[in-house]
Amino acid sequence: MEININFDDMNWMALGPELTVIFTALAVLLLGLKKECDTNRFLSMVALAGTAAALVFSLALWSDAPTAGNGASPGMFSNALIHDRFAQTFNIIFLIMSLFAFFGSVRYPLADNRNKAEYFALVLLAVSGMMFLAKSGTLITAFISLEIFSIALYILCGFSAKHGTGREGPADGAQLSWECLASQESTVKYLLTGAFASAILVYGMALIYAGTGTTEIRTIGTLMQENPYMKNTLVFIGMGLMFSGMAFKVSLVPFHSWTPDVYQGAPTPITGFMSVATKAAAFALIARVFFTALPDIQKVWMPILFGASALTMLVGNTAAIFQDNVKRMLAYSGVAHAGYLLIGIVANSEDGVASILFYLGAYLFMNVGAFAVLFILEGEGQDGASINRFKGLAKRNPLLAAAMTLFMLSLAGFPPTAGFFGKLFLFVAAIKAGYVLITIFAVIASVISVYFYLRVIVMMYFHESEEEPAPAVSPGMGALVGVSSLAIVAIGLFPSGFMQIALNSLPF
Amino acid sequence: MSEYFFISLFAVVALVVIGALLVLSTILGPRNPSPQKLIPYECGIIPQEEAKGRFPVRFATIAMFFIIFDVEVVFMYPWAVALDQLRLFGLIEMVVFIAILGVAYVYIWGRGGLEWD
Repeated sequence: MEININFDDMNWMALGPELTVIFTALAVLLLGLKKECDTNRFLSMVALAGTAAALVFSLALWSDAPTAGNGASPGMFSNALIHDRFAQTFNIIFLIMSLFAFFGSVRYPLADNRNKAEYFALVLLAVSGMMFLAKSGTLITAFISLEIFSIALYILCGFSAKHGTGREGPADGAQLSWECLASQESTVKYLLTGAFASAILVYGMALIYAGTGTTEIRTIGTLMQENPYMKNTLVFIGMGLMFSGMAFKVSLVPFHSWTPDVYQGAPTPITGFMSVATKAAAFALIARVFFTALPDIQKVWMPILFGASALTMLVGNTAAIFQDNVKRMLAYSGVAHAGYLLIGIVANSEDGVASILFYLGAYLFMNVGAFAVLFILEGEGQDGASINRFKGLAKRNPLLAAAMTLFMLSLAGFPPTAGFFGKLFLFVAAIKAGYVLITIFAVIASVISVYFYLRVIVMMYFHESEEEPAPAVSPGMGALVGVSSLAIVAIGLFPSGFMQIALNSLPF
Repeated sequence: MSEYFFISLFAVVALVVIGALLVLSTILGPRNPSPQKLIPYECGIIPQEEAKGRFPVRFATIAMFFIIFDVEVVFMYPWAVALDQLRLFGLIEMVVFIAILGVAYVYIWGRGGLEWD
């Protein structure tokens, strides 16, 4: 057998950000072995340096990256990966999001945790998996990169749990703190349900391969257009299975029930990281597969996409009303936002995909900000993230309260903020494509959501605090809150400029 | 169609027979429980302690060693067979692969994964 290696399309430069992140992860692991380096402070510095380098790399690659407009060739490594602006935009989202997990290291991993280096290495490896997912050109690379970040996140969810020495008796179980048990619950639930979702996803990929004879996403797209026989039952069923698997990752109703428990039990930096980064990564894959490879047969599944989107928005927002724990509330709010994002896929147009990108950008900053404020206020135990912690924050720390107000208003979609324009662009794209009904559902859902977002603001401004001192703000988290607020205001003031960037980074 | 008839007939008969046997044995069988009868059956040996106790999870370390040493070799076989065609590029690829696994090896060694107390 003759093996031909194509050396021409090995574009190592385009992989620069990914390679930087991976080698930083390996360096962090090795540095963690030295006693004096094994501190949260030192390891987070190394991880931050690597992330910053990768971010600069991605920004440098962004402008010259191929797009549908400038005619450059996107395939690399025998089409296993795609190098385009779409992927670079997602790189930037993942890298900014990982900052939250690193700044969170003022509290996690715990001081007595012996595996501190693993925390940072796993976050970095999760980011690299997500970056490869946004770049993946074949279904196989997509599945592998999905597993890379999923497995890393399964472990990270359990990081508040104490590592047993193996010599404890059964009696020691009672002494485990609430955090420890919740974290274990979170990691096991996420692992079991996530493994199911991966199995369904890979089954769908196998059926699509059986129906079309190729795993290359772009080749599937061209085959679909040229050959009507490609639209066969196998591909239809495969697409439905793939959608179910990805719906789990972005927690669409009815695949959402793991979300609140996993989000509540996981350490807050990881919850915040997961809430945006996994969602963005899965939507990158959904956009690539549904928009590039299967735009025609999407019509077959349209009623289901439509129903899932409407149901997700309504159920997510309604369930969030009843949550007294802010972490759980933000988890349900994340479910609802996945529903909003799906509108862009339902619209099935360039505008739709661009507004998904815009919305993810806005959602990134709103959620980083909200989770950073929550992280600052959070206390110990089961009631640590209770909404009562926000009581009277306006007196204790007016700046923080003002920033949280901005994040909540933006999440609810009030006019001068980024969240409003994100929703606006999604709705306009849906109406242009003729889906007025889903826009009506989305507006109803947004109105419901105003209740629980405003409840936080009411707690901060109209309730007296219970003799609590001003919360301590670590520099990293403070910077994140500041930058997020500025970004939300900036996106809200110049929405058309940012939308133009999104329109310039459409996938192939 | 006739094949399906016989298969479904077989399924129905199997269900009826098994169901009837289970129901009859619950109705007719005598029941005299004693502590000796109620202990879990463990290959005929009398159980020493509760089965719900905690036990050390050494599997994680073993699994890591398994990946580093065994899976690595599985990947090396096809590489070794095709090395004459892969040439220098293949060699570099394999060195990078082993180096990454080497980091994992150094890590668990440094963490005391090889100390078996």
